[in-house]
Amino acid sequence: MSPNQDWPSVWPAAATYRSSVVPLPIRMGSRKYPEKRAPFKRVGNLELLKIPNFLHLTPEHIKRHCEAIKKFCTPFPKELISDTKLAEKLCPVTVTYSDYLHQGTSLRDPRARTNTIEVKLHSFGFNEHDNDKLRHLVGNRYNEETDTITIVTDRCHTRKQNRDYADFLLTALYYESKKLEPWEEQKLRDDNIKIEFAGSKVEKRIIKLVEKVAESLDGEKILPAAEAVKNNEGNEKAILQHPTVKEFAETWYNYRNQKETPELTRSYEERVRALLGIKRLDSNKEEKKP
Amino acid sequence: MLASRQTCSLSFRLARLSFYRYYAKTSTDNPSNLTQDDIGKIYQIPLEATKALAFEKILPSKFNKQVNTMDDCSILCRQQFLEVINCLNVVRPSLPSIRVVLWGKFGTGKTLTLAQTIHFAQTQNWVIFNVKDVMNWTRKVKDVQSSVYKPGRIDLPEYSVDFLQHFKQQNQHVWKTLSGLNTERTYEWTKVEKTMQDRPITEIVEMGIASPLVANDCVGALCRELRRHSTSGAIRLLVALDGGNSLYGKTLIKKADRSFAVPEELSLIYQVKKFLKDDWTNGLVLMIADKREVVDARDTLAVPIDTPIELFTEQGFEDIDPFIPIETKLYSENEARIIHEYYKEKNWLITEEARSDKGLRELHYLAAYNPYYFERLCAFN
Repeated sequence: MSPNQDWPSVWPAAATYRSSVVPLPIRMGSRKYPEKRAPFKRVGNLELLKIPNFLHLTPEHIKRHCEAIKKFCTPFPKELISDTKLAEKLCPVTVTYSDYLHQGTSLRDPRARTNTIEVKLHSFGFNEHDNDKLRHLVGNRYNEETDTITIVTDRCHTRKQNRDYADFLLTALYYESKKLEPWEEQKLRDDNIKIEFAGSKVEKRIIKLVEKVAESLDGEKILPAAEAVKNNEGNEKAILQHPTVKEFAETWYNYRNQKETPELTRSYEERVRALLGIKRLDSNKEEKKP
Repeated sequence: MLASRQTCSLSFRLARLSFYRYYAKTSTDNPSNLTQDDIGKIYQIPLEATKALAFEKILPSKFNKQVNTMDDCSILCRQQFLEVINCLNVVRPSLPSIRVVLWGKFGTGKTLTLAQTIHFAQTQNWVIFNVKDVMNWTRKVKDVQSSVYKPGRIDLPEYSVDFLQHFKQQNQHVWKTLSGLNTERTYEWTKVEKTMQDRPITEIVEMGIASPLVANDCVGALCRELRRHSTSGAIRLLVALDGGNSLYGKTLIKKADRSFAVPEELSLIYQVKKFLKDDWTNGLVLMIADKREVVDARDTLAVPIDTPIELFTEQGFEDIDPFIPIETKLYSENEARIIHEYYKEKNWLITEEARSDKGLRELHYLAAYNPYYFERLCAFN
């Protein structure tokens, strides 16, 4: 064999090892005393035949494959790389899968068949009802902070089957969330994903509290929100529009719907104090200090 | 005469001159006159008051022992206590009952603040409805009885009698006033025993103490009457629940079908929960969010936190919302130093090292400014 031979022509496709064609000095095999005798030579070596070889994928091979395909390709649009928002708009679905290489007799790896599909919820273009229904269907596969739905499929044997299954899931989710079933009108307050202030027990309690205090003579001094009642003949909306009640509602919503921390508890305390008109003693002290 | 090395600052020299003490004292011993300037100073509760208010049953066990040993009940005046007093001063007949929850880390003074508040309430002639520990009712199972008044509910006769006796002892300062208040209707406890209309409500208490079978129903009637009279303005009511979040926890009381009862099914708890509603005025409900209810020694993975929703559960939170959560904090450096001075004065600290400044700094770090551990370390040094 000449050293300048064209290797891609000699070994164009994947093939079992042939010692007569491959010029490399390889040895393979286990010996009882390796320090005394080297592993077996390549000629007539069965072990070399059993393992997968990548002699059909040398850098020269890859180069030629690329050159052959290049005339059918266009360069990847730079705008899609630089502008993530545009990429999200045009290609909202991201599919991730992995290939695995082994130093062993088998090329197979069960992890290679998993597919991960990621879609952003806002790219569906849903209204409120559909959004909510999709979130209920998808469950904890939805991440609120990144607004992403992640679907991982690996229940089928091949990657292609798993990919088809994931595509089916997305389609099914889309059409199901658009449907309005008759039993959906039985939805209760408990079924909501977030705890809303409107319609909660607190709201009713606050309204009753303010109405009761406003009946007394010096109601405004005790409860700031009572002045709303005095002005508007006891309107529920007026009470809820009062700034102390509004701020309380905001903080309450955060407190109930986020993970509870001491800081959130303290902010809740501040708002309740503002609502009930009972100030902290600290705050007076700080105001007095110059 | 007095050791001069430790006291160098002006305040201590003044304290030495006026009171012959190392530790700083508040301006008055009367809690209603304490101001912001008294924070970080010690005041004394007279021993007659501690005995009258059954403090040995309310206070944390270690502090109780300290009171018995030192023969005086000296408590540090801290920010959280003044906040609670501030809330108490807002109470009036036109304002529905205020709910206050004491929350904070273990050992930071929740139960102690409750005790201080009870003493304050006594000095101001409030009626005190103090439950020593709701968790005892749910977890420490003594005799159990099925309720006659409401089938399906569970009575706790021994705890009811115990509670009524405690109520009687703590309210001796307003017993005459309570005797002047009358019942709304006739209460028929059994076919034979009744309390007629327009009889003093103290008769309900006496009836409950005398007859354990009826005691739980007496507690319920008492709660009702107290709310009624509080709304009318005749009395001011302080409801102090230690372990308040146990109203929404779990019980160890087994029903006939061998399942555990829910706290709602215990009539004592059901009656106390009515205080959390908005239908009565002129009162304050002070609860403690205690982590003991939620903590399980066998569950090594869960890490409960000290905040109100976690401890009261969502259902409990909805019942008490809106309430004022008052945080009890760890010692500041000043507060720890004052306590250290107090222990030095009382010869509670034995070793010379512990009495020194260096010792104080060591105690700061070892206890991590936690009041409970600080006291425990001082007890053994």
